[in-house]
Amino acid sequence: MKRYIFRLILMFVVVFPLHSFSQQGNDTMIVIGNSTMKIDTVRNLFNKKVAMIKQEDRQRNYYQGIRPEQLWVHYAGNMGMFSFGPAWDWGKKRQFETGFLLGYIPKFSSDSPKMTLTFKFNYIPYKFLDGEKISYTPFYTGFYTSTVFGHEFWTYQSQDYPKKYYHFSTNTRWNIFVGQQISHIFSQNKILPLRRVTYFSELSTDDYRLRHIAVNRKMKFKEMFTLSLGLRFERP
Amino acid sequence: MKKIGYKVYFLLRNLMFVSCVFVFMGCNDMFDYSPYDAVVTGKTNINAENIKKIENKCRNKDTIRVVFCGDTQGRYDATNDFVDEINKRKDVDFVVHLGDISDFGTTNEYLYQRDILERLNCPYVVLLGNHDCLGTGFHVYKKLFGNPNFSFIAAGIKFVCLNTNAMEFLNTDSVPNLSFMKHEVVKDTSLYTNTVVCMHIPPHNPEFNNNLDEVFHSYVKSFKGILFCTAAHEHHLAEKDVFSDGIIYYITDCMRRKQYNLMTITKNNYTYEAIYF
Repeated sequence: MKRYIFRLILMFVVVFPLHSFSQQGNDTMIVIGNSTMKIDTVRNLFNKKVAMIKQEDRQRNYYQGIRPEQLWVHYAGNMGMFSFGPAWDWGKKRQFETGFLLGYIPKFSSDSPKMTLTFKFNYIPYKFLDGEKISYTPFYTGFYTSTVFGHEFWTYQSQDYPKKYYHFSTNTRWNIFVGQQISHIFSQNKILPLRRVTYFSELSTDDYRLRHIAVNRKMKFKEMFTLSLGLRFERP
Repeated sequence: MKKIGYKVYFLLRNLMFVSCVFVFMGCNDMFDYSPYDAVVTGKTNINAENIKKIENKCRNKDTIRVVFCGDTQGRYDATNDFVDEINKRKDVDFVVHLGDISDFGTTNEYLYQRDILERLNCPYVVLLGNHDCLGTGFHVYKKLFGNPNFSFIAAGIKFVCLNTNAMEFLNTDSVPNLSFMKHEVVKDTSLYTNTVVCMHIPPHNPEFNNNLDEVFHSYVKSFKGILFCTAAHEHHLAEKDVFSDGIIYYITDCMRRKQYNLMTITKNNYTYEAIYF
């Protein structure tokens, strides 16, 4: 507020006297010190200045807005042994969450360890038992697509194969999931800068599994779905 | 009242935590790091073990009955039916899976198919197919089944199993491995009278390395008492004289159509049956 007043005074002192020479009409005039000017001009200039300041504030808020809200840590779930990355929540009720996860797969029986990159989208329709300290969501859903990097994986088959030989991509998997989560909500005066820690488990299936489900009738539960566990840390 | 509420809350929370731990311990095999994570559990190096079993089983026989199947490619139901079918008939000595055990080369497909084939009462060996090489599939194959080029002798018949998936090994490996064949031609010739050559992709198929087809076939012909060749990959039943010289390539149909070839092999002779079940 102080700033507005200061700038307004500055405007009156510096800008208005200059304008007062050029603008003289029959409309209502305003007298500032030795100079006079139209009331409309003053209003216009004032509005312009306020808009400018608002724009600055909005930009500052925008940079605040794209700062990640959450940190996600995942275990398993077709996106590496462990994966972590920034995430944002958005929507009127903060019901959507979007995140990028970088994952790591150890070597195991293959010849090299691998990295994965995952884009994940959550939709949390409602929070059942939403308390002050703890909240529980029995159902939420969403999808993610995870890409594994390595020379042995491709999005499109290489030129060496006959045309349209492999009609699928080996490096990118599309997954859909359902999950449940428990949130622990912290009070303001904690040492860690955390508002909320969420523990979740998700049951997901990918396009490979869906194909197997489509062609086989008798599939076991563990062949159809895969589990993942994780944590979400939210900043205040 | 508030105190009791807190007690109930803590009790519930602890119970929930403990039950979660137990539940997730129970689903230990449901955590997947990636379809191609190459986490191999359970029985490994199966071909070598089963070859020992086959050699012991067929030592004193003069007629053996061998089942050739292939291209199971994620058809778990059909493979289960196949196993039941083979277990019903008592006369089969062993099964040769001619490759493409998986559809996408994923580790789980390998493990599920292995678990299904483990239900067989008779021993089995698995060849490498082109789909099995996708992603980390080849490494999983090597861990589970061993070297993709191998041979064994059952009742005086030598079975030479070859990796012919040239398309998957461009510039990285010699496929088909002619030096292996050359070595096999002269190895232990006193122990057997006839040879059967098994592969996944037959010659003159676009995925075979057709620059080497004549050389390949000259090695095939030089095996002692060559009876026939057998392959899969083409997803239709066929009986082809590929090089027009009397050496027949028997191609099995895919498992989706529930077909296998039954070969009754004796010294210098064999009979062929294509069976749909």
